[in-house]
Amino acid sequence: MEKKIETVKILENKCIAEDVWKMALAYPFDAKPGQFVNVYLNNKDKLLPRPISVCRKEGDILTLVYGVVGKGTEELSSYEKGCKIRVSTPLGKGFYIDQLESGKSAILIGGGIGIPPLLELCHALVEKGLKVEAVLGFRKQPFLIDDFPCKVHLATDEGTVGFHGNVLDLIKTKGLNSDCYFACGHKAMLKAVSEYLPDVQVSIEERMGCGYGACLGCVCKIKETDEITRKKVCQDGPVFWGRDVVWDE
Amino acid sequence: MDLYFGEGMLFGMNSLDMSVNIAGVKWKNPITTASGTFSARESGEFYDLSELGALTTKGVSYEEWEGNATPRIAETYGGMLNSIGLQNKGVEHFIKEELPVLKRYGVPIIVNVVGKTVEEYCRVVERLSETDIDMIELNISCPNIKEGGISFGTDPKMAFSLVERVRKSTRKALIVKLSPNVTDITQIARSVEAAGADCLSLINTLLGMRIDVHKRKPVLANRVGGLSGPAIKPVALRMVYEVRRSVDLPIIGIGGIMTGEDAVEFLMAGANAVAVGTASLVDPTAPFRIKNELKQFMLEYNYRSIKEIELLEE
Repeated sequence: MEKKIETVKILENKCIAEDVWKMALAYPFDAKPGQFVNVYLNNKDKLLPRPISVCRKEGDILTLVYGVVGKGTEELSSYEKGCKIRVSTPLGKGFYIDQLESGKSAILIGGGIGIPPLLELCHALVEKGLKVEAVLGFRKQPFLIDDFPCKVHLATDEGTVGFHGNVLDLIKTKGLNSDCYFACGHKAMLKAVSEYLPDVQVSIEERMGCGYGACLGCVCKIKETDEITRKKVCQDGPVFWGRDVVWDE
Repeated sequence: MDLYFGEGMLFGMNSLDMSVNIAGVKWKNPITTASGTFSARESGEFYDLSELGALTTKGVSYEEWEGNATPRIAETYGGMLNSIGLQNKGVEHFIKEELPVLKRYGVPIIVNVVGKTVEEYCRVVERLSETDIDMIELNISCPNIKEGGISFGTDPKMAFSLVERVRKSTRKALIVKLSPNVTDITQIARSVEAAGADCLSLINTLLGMRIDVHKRKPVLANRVGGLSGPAIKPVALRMVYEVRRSVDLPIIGIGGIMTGEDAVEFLMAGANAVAVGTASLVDPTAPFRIKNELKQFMLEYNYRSIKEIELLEE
């Protein structure tokens, strides 16, 4: 079968910023930037998998960086090194980067817990020979910024470090531009970025049921020529072209 | 070590036969998928669908339905709420794009049919009757569509007239899926039996709600949705038990089945087959795993057929 759920070992699980945790797993599957995995909790009261994006895949180690936002992710943060958890093989299509050529430039735009998937993307683009810069926004406490193998422009909502304001204002202020753009963050940010940079690829988040395309829980509206169709975020996405997303919900 | 290579293989002096006959259609085992939680293309990436007794599709309407706004999913203790709203591309698309995929597996195909009016239900059923699907499951119980279904599913008279009309539109085996959102489910069951249904499936989801106290608003965009998962299993089991004692039709038991033993509970309560729903979201291979667990249970207790399990000690 092409897809499966595997029981894998936790190699590390630690807090790297307020309510932000990093988990490393022994994971012998290929994963593309922008894909995600379903993480199944051991507590059977919580049935649904937690979809978490691939932050980094090096050799057989998969790193996930996740926000502790509810009881499920809180439980996830309680798992210790050496524990085993059930995780799916990679899901979703990921970012569209196969056509990109060496020498082109790319800007990665990330907000808060939307930043982790951009790290694997950054490595992939740098490996392909692209000139990459990252514009990363946080509420107040940055994380992962030193891991990016590229120039990082930093913004914080509260002005604690870097530019005082959001990522889009920072892009406008510095007059940053490139051949292609990639963004991940909350919907309001992605909407604003897509209006300013219609050719951006956005990775969007939606409440999911199955996470593999069977239940139609996580649809979004996408413009296709003259029609608006409903696409599955988990299977057709989670990456879409910013210009095609209908941001009304 | 597994010495037995198929559902009908001989072992020792006895043979283990998991097959069931549901309204004239032979299933090689009593496990199917519950409508809405299964898609042949996607689920087929996790396990061999030909291992199941039958495959039940998502709801199919005459024309395309867009479904509800998101969020459509909310988790609850031991369960979940959904308000998908029966998003589907309509019966023609189903026949052209999805039916060929389902046919590959060589097991009976059950198409779940939805509609907003009697005429719409009949049009879908008539169109499907021209194809080689095996059974039709009339969804008169979806809580997520205003006119669609639940009013038919909660009023015995409306249920009777709908099923009577649909009965005239098809010779396919006709399953009617019942709503638990009623005072007395046996009343509807009897109406539907009298109207000519061949089989009943129960239960659909229980109408429920969740509120986000931080945002002070319902979690689901649709405000309310259908509760499913292990949290509803005792309710489902009780309803199967009651309906079994009220009608003679075969019953497909549905509601929170997560393991082979859960399936056995439904068979003992009076179901002739079971459908696995929410479990497929928790474990994409659940229907296949549950079939194997049921087989193990039969071996352990020396049951030779599903019929033997169905007898409950009174």
